[in-house]
Parts: sequence; structure tokens; C-alpha cells
Amino acid sequence: MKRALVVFLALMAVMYLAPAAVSIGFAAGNDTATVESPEAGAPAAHNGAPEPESALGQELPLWTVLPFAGILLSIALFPLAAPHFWHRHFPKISAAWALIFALPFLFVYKGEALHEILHIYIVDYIPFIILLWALFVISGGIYVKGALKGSPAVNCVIMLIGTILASWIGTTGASMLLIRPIIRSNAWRKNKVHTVVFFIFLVSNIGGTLTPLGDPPLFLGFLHGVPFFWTMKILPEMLTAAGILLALYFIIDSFYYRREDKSAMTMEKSAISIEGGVNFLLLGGVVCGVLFSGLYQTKLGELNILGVHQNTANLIKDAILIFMGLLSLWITKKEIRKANEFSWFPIMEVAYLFAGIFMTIIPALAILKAGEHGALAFLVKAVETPAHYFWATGTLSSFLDNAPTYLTFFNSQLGKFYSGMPEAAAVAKLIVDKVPYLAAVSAGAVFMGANTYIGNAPNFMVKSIAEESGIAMPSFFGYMFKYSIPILIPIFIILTLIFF
Amino acid sequence: MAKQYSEVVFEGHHGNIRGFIEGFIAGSGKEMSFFFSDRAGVKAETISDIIKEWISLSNKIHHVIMESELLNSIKKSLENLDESDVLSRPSIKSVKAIKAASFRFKFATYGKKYGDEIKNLLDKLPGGLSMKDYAPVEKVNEDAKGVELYSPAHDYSFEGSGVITGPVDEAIAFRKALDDHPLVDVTVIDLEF
Repeated sequence: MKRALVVFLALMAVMYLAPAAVSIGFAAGNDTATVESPEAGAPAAHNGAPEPESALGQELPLWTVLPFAGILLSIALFPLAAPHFWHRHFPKISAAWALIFALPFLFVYKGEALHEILHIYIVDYIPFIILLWALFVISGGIYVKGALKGSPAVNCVIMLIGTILASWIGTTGASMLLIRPIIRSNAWRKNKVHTVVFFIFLVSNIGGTLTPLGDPPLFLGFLHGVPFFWTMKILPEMLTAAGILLALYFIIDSFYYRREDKSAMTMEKSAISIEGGVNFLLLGGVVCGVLFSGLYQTKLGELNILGVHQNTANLIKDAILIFMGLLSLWITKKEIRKANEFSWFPIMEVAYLFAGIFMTIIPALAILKAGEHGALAFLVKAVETPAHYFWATGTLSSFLDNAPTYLTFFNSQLGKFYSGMPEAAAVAKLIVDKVPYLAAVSAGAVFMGANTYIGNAPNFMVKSIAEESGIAMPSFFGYMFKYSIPILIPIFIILTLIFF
Repeated sequence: MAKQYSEVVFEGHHGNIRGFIEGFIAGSGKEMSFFFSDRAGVKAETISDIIKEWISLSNKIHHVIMESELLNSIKKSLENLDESDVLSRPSIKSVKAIKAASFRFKFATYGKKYGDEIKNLLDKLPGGLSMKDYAPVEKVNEDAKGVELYSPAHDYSFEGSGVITGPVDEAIAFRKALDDHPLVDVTVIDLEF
């Protein structure tokens, strides 16, 4: 644990703080090139002064996105086809895909390539990992103790709490927090697979819609200039989907509950209690830190880190997040983390894999930003209406990780509507003039991650915990054909008809 | 000596047949067993049989597994009954003596506790039954301990499948014991005549 912590902090220090590596130049707070966001809580897109859009996106051929497709397909297929091989070697596979792209890219484009790589790591990857690390550490310090009756009403209440919490502590955090209590409460029941499946639908996916803390794709949107509370615009879509799912779950669970042998309920009911509740305050600190970075984005100047502009407010936000995480590690009893089976492995997985994803996504984003002038012009032209964006983002998010998928379609909108415009200005217009389009991409990425086990990271985690607790979870296709296609797809069609 | 069982196909109302057999056993004062095939998980009808039954619109056909002593007694008493003795008496369409019964099972579990439960269940295989094609694989992988997000792998797994063969009454009872475990899947019982 200590070694992982040291590695993490060392990485942050090298990238952010080492004086020899960082050339610091304070820019004026009212830098004319910085685009002020029209809404409170919005970071200026791409942090401070926008760098001129290069012609890179117009030059790169389509095949340069193959390593990006390769790493996403590796994440999707290896856990199903060769889980133990993947478990042992995923860092090497991630690194291999990253190098397959990076080496020729650096060889051909030299300084420009180096700048693009540094830019995506400093502006996207490191803040992304810091947020996930902080949420992971803090939510891993909260333990929900006790077990309830496991009746339909109790299960619905647990799922409702999880759905609400997911937007504030992340879908992974909410899933980690509540999956074991709900399994414990239903341990005596024979029919409980549907409970875990609906938990994946609601807590591991749809619940994370309302803030950038909820799901990684939305945080990437936040890092690119979408205001913190902008995602609240998806509240009607989220309420509709969650409302239908909860009602449906109650009906299905009531049906199965009537068939249960109640005499099997031998476990002792014990009131639910929360240990490590102080971590909720630290989660509040994380929310404040993220909000702060949005509110003070243009007021505190910026730093030039290896030639990449990074707003001081963002660095302060990252420092706050790291501080909150460290505080959680310091004040939370070890027993609580042990009860949660807390380990560093999940966050290391995210760090390794997203290091590869962010490297390989560079050409895809550049090409998409070039809009109809880039090699993905056919995609930019083909996806036209909000409904198209909802289903295109959603379908890809069902099978590939939803964070890069969101970023891909987010950039495709920038390329389509504001090609050639600096990102900061384009995002500022997108969030005002094209609300249904961005809402469709956001909802598609978050909601449809529930369509398969591989759509969103917590899905696999919940499946794995349920299986180790003696629940016979459906196979990959069983999950799709028995649950997600018959239940979720009709709901998404309803959402399309109403909202998109 | 093991009891001999037959598959008896009755035509009539399910309630009447059940009531008739249960009443018969109660009246005889003996302990005799029978099973309705559909409730006991025994394969009884082929799809073509079901279609034929639907097309003919005849009374429902019921397959009942019963021991020979009970069958012989019922046959004899039915022969002695006049048409007017009962309002709706069941009629026997066919009788086939059962030589053996078999079913397949399979399981996969990722918790040691549940692996031990399944091992205990299989260890209690009744004497008359035999198990074949059973080669379970139990793996412990300490590296995979803990929670994963993107590279899920279980630190423990116990998987297996096999075929249980033997007398039909024991096969029915053992199949139910396995089926009651949420991590064990069983097929319907095939009868050999």
C-alpha cells in the first residue's frame, strides 16, 4: 500500500512540481486568449490560453487510430477470452499499444508530437487519475455494516440511495459501498440475480449522470470546459430512466419475493450502520475542490508546464484532492478498509490502462476536431441529430470504455459545429447552443455503459463480487439477452422519443 | 433389492389422477412412491408428442413414475371397476418398465465456501447411483485476490460437470438436492427403458 502511494505521489510530483522540469510562467489572470465560460463552475476549456489548433488532424491518416481501437478492444475482449492472462499482463499490453502509436508519431512529428503527448497527459490524464484516486480512496474508507431483510422495499431503498450517491461519489465508489450490504441483505434468498443486475443498471451506471464526479466521461467533459452543474440538464432523462427501472425492479422483485421460502431467512437482521462516516466530509472537500477549479479558472493565472498551459486553479484543485485522499488514508481505521477489502489494485488498473488510452486517443481526437477536413469526416457527417449521437455514443459505450467514447463524440461535435475554432471558444458555444447534442452524448455514454459487463468499469467489479458471494451471474451474452436488451433498450427508445 | 419402477402414461385430469393414486395408497395402508414426471424433472414428452396432444384436443396426458407394486395394484383395481363406478376414472395409455435414469449436472463457483458446499453435496451421492465423466477443476490463484475493475479474475474457482446414472427414485431425489443449490445446473432426467 505504501509503495503504491509513494509511486503515485512521485508521479504527481515529477509531472507537476519538480522545479527543474517545469518552466513556470505566470500569465495574466485576464489573459485575453482565455475564454471565460458563460456559466459558473466551468473551467475554461483546455485550461487557460488556448493553444492554436494545428493542422495535425487534417494530416493524420485513419489508420493512426488503430492502436486506439486495439487498446479498447483489448480491454473489452481479454477479460472474457483470457482473464488470467489479462490480469497478469494488462500493463504490458497497454504500454505496447501506447508505444505502437507513440514511437512513429514522435519520429515523424517530433516536437509537435511531444507537445501533443505532454498536453494530453498534463491536461487530461493526471487530473483524471487524481480525481478517481481521491474518490476511490475516500469511498473505500466508508463501510456500510449490517444487513436488512432483503425485501423488495428495502432493496429499492438501497438502490435509490446508491443511484443518488453515484453522482457524488462516482459509480465505482457507490457500487463498492453498497454492493456488499445488498448482497448480505439478500443472502437468504434464492432469486437474487435480478437484484445484482438492476444494481448494475442503476448504481453502477445511470446514477452517475448528474455531476462530473459521477462517471469518468463526464469528468473528461468537465476538464474540457463543460461546467460542473451543466450535467444537471440531463436530470429529466436520468429521472425517467431510473424511475422506470426502479418501478420495474419493484414489480419483478415482489414476484420473486412471494416465491421465496421465508423460513430460509435464518440470518440475523441488524440495523445498517456506517463506519468511517467522516469520509463523507472529505467527499464534500473533493466536490468543493472541483467546484473551486471551475469558479476560479480564469482568476488565478496559469502555469506553463513543459510548454503546456495549465491553470493554477486546476493545480490547486488537484492538490486539494490529493490532500483529501491522504487525509482519508490517515484518519480512517485500517479495519474499515479491510472490511471493504480495499486494495490499490483497481486504481492501478485505471492508471495503467488509461495511460495507454490517453496516448492512443491523440490521433482520434485530432482527426475528429478537424471535422469534415479530417479522415473521420464520414463519421462526422453521418452522425447528425441528437438521437444519432445518443445511439452512436451509447452503442460504442456498451462495448468500449465509455470515457474515451464520450471524448471521441464530444470532439466530433466540436469538429462538426465549430471546426477550426479554438477548443475553449467552441465548448463555450456548444454548451449553450447545442444542449440536446451534448446531453445526448453524455446520456448515451453514461446510460448505455449498462448494456454489457464491459460497458463501464464497475460492472465487472459488481459481477465479480456477486459471483464470489455465491450468486450465479449470467454470462456476457446471458446478461445482454436476458436483461439489458429486453429491459434497457426499450427504455432507451422511450428516452429517444421523449428527449432526443 | 431395489424397487422396480415404470413410466405410466395416464389420460385424464391431473387432479383426478393424483387424487386417485394418493387415495389408492392411503387405502392400501402401504408405503408406495410415485412421481409426476413434469414435477420431478423427468423428461417425458417429446415436442411431437406435445403437438399431437394439442392437435387432438384430447385430455391432458400425464406421465407418472411409479413402483411396480403400486402399478400392478392400480391396474388390477381399474380392471375390476365398472364404467359407472366412478365419474371420471383415469385411463392408462401405456406402461414402460424403467431400466435406469440419468441426468447431467454442471457447476461453476468462485467462492471457497460454495465450492465446499458443492463438494459435500456430491460426496453424499447415494449408493445406488454412479457418477461418470466427472473431472472437476479447482484453482487457487493468490495473485487474483481482491477487487478488480478492468481485469477481473477470481482467486478461487471450482468448476465441473458430470453424469449421474442409476435407479430413477434415487436419481429424482439426488437431482432435487443438486437443483436446490443455486450454483448447480441440472438437466432433465432421461429414462432408459
